[in-house]
Amino acid sequence: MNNQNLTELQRDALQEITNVGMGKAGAALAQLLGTFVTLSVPRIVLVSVEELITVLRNADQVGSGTPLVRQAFQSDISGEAVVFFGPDGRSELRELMGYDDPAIGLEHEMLSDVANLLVGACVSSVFEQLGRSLSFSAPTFVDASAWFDSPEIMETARWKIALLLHVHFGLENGDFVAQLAMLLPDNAITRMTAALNTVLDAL
Amino acid sequence: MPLSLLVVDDSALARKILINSLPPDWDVEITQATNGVEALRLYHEGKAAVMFLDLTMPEMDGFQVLAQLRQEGLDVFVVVVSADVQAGAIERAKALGAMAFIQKPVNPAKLVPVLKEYGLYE
Repeated sequence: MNNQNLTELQRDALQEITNVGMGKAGAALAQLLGTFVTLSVPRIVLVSVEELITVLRNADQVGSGTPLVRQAFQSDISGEAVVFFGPDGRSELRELMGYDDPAIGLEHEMLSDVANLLVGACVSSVFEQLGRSLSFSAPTFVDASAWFDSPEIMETARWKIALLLHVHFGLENGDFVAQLAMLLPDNAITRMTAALNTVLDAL
Repeated sequence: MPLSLLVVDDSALARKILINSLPPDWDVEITQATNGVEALRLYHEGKAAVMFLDLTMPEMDGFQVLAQLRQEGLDVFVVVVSADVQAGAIERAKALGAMAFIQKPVNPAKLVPVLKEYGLYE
């Protein structure tokens, strides 16, 4: 499945709903970091999970040791959010968050905190606008390349589609890039399309 | 004579939500723009006594539109309508001459009090 499976109106609605979600996430991040965060228009694409892996690998975002945070969410539309961090800006983030010790454990903790906040704010907001409330499982931290190679994602057809949000956050003393992907099973995308239609029909 | 409103947002959904949130009995003439460049052109054509302006847009964003309007003398009442809800963004928009700030998603409960506060709608 790709963007062509959404009508232009549905794609625009999903983009706008996501923008609002990212605005919420940016505000939460600004509050956490005590700094102004510049938000760019997030790029959204719907891809198959296989395509998602290719996109992320080609973008050189995901190599050995790339941290990835996973967090499952549940409502009548259930799925999993994953956050990938680009190589830039991690030391600035760590500084802003007051983790002075560059120990790797703390970096993981810091990235988990940031991912949890982004997912919580953005994904909740998206689903709230679609008329749903969500519950979240606790975030888990994994190595991205190991996860891609794991049979769990490749062998099963559990996740049919990924809604990939490429988000660029500008900080005062350096930028960082995070990719947030929502992995959705087949029935979830059908329900999401229906939910988008409900929003559009109400206007 | 109807008041001329310009609704500036790159999203069709966002423009529709905003227009649907306006009081139905408000005597206005609505024009829409999908980016900052178009917004400035329509402003110059006299289509904007009041402008509802999104901040995050491709090409020319809302901050750039505000800066340009201010440079030209700001003969328009600008209400910023944005998903960017950081205190810093609100301050920056107001410093650039925006009169009011409304958080997305827009609804009548958020919009109408602002219109009343500034005497745009009674």
